[in-house]
Amino acid sequence: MTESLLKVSDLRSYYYLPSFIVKAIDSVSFEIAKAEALGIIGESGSGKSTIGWSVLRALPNPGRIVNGDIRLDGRSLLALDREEMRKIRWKEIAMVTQSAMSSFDPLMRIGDQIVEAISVHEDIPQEGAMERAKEIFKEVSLESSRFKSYPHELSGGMRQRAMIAMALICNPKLVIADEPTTALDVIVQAQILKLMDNLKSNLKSLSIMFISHDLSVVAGISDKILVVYGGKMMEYGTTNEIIKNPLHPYTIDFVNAFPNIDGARMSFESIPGDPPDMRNPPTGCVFHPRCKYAWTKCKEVTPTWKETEKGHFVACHLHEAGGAWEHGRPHHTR
Amino acid sequence: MEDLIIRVEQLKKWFPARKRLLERSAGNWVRAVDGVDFSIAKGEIFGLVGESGCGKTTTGRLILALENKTGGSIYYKNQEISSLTRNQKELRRAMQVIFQNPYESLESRLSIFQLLSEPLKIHNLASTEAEMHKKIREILSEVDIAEPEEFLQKHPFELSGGQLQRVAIARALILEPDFIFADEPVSMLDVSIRAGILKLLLRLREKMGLTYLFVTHDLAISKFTCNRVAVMYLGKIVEIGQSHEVLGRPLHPYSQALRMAIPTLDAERRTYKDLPDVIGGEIPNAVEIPSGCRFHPRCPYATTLCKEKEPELRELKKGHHVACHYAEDLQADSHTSLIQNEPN
Amino acid sequence: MWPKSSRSMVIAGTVIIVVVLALDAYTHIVGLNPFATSYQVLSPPSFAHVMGTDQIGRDIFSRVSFGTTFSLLVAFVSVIISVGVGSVTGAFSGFFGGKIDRVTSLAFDALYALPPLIIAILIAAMIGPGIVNTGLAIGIGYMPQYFRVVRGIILSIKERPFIESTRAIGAGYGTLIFHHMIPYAIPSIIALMTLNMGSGIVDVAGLGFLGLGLPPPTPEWGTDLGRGRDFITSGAWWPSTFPGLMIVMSVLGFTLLGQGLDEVFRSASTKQKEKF
Repeated sequence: MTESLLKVSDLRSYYYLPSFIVKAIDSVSFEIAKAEALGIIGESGSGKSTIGWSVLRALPNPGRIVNGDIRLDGRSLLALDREEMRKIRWKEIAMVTQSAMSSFDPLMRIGDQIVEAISVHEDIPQEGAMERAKEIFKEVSLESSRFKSYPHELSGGMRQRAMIAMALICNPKLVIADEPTTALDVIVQAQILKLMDNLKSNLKSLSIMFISHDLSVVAGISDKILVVYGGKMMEYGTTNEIIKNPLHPYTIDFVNAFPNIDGARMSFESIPGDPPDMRNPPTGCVFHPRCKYAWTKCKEVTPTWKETEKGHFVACHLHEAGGAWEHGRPHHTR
Repeated sequence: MEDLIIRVEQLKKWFPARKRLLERSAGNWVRAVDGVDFSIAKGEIFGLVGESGCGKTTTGRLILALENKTGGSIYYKNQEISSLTRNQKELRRAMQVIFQNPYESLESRLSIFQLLSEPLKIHNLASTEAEMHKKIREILSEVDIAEPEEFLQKHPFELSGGQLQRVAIARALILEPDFIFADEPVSMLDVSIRAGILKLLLRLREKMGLTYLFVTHDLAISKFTCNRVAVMYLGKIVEIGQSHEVLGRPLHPYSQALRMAIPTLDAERRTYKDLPDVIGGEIPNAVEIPSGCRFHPRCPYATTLCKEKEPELRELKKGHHVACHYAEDLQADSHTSLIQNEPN
Repeated sequence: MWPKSSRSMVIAGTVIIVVVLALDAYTHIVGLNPFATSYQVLSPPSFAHVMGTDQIGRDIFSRVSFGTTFSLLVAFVSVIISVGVGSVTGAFSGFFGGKIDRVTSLAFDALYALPPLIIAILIAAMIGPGIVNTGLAIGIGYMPQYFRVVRGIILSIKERPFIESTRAIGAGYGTLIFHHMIPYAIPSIIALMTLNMGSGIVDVAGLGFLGLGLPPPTPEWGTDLGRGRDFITSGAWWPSTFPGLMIVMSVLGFTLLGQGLDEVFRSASTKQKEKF
């Protein structure tokens, strides 16, 4: 049984805006084991990024964690004071985001920034920090000549590598990657994904939380996948299960919304409607307005989170008593 | 003889480059589009694919006369579009554009009604208020907007991305154009609604007899949408042909790399991990274009010939052109081909 | 809604302006005569003459309130001229850019370097007094402000994608500039116009003071104030003070209103930006 590294229970984070409250995540619970990669998949308004920010306790201003428990190695992160949490950030949990430009000081050379970060977070002298920085550069396949470059001198791909390097300096236990390759060109993206894959195999104890809207990217790197929509969990399971045997209508449709470039005939489908307006989300099951199989219960009652098959969880009335799920397919009960 | 809507010959667009803040331009140019030839037949959806900086968007903008070309010629229905004619209203009416981000391309100050009535007013297509309303309602239902009345008084920021892009499409179509330049029309939209918009564009082509230039970086989308496709790299076309050929069985090493790099859901076909390191990832500066074949510094098969001589686009199979000195050899030898041929 | 400080400014400004205009209206309604001379020369403020009389016995209150019309009218003319010329040239110059823009900007920058009053004095001395003449003389000095503001706004909007998409549907340059760009400059223009009403009033008074304003016996604040200087030493403070007070009041009113509007527009546009 793999040890659990991160355990999130009933997490709710809301944004308090002047005219309304946005329930960005409204009860999310999951676990990431040691050396495991969890992919969190969602679209606009799903709350996926909010999950990452909440775990780091770094929600942007009108946001607040309203409920829930976040435990890292058994330790509750929400119980820590600001100073203690600050120590956790970077040393134990690090983040990689979409735009590296906002993470780096534009006036300082990359190498210097990394060395500085190392000496701040770990108590090692200058030379030691330098050594470690060079090591990490190698790990992310950045040429040592780039040590002296300024952030704006680096290309997109190199900046992402630098950001990954920054994240790894303290050997964190968990790296949260929020759309790390979305802004990159296809070939560069492939290189970065390859890098992350290699890191995963080389750094035996590293866990990854990979947040993205791109299922094909997430599928390549994750062991397990959590599907979120409208601030709620829809489905959770191994990557293989989610893609080959999706149980939630949203997941089924979502998988079909990705055009498959292989195969002579291409088909892909949209999900009708639009992502939910999080200022005024739908009642009952948050997906019901767009669900092919929705019936009255779906509009009124929020489905419960159930383990339908081993290690495979869904929140959908079709899978509850009275629901109509047969032979791996839903069918209408009306 | 096909009815050609657009023909482009040796099209060039060079932007002046500045080396450093204080140095003068000194004749350095960013060769965004550097000699591009292709034609688009009536009713065809022609795709330009490539990564950022390859020149695909600039090519479309040149055809739509949103930029001035540096060299070459553009023909619309066999008539050359020169700087004199390009601003003529008729041309503007016949050639329309759909931009990537509808929140930026549609003025947020205006209502949907104002946005859709303006083109009609400019081209005098509606003589009465009632006629204007009618045309607007019709075009909105063409783009599958269910209750047009509710929409008319709203502003862009009140609509979702998908709805707003439909409005942008409606605005392009209300003038009943012949040709549409679609610049990454679904890239900013949520994945779950992309298929709907693309299918809409296909349906509209049938219904309204449109011809499209479809620019995207997403190979899968262009395979789904386009009839023919050209792959661009550093301002030139490296491969051009039927989309299922070029994207299904690419011949040029760069197209093959692109194809391999795409992440797939199917674990067995996950090829991005096999990309040779030399392919690297970074696209060279368009100011310092490599000698000979532009791709040679990154190509696993490059030889001295590739470094010295720039390959021409040659017809390898019917309708399928490649710009590579070794295209035939690479095709014949299945071991060196970067990807497995897909089943037909 | 509007921030408190701006709201009070707008209200205060409006109130003052209304009072000033009311006084003017009162004069016309009641039928006071600013030209009527009398033998009560230089008499201090009393019930009969609330503001006293001047050196040829004319009622100062009538003159001062009558003078409102002229001052405000000329200031208004100057504002219209400067807005009209400055904004339109700013818009076109910014839109088309290139050499024309460089030359025009240089010209207006040179003009901007001189204080508007000096320019007004020079021109007024050349073309002589009159409502339009004086308005023109003053207006020229303020053109650069509108030129700069509008040009700046046009430059920032020019590159936005929606402008390009409007070009793509076939809009001509006129439509683009007047329907799609200038509207964004309007809040700034209005605030500037209001402030410049205040400056304009001071300039009108200034010209009048120097004798370059509307000819006697026209009641005009600056002229009367200037004429009244001669009598201060003999103890008659009222011929100069009351016109002076009116100048201060009306300028204060317009400045408060203009400043308040400027803040309101600024906060409205930042709120808009936050929304999206």
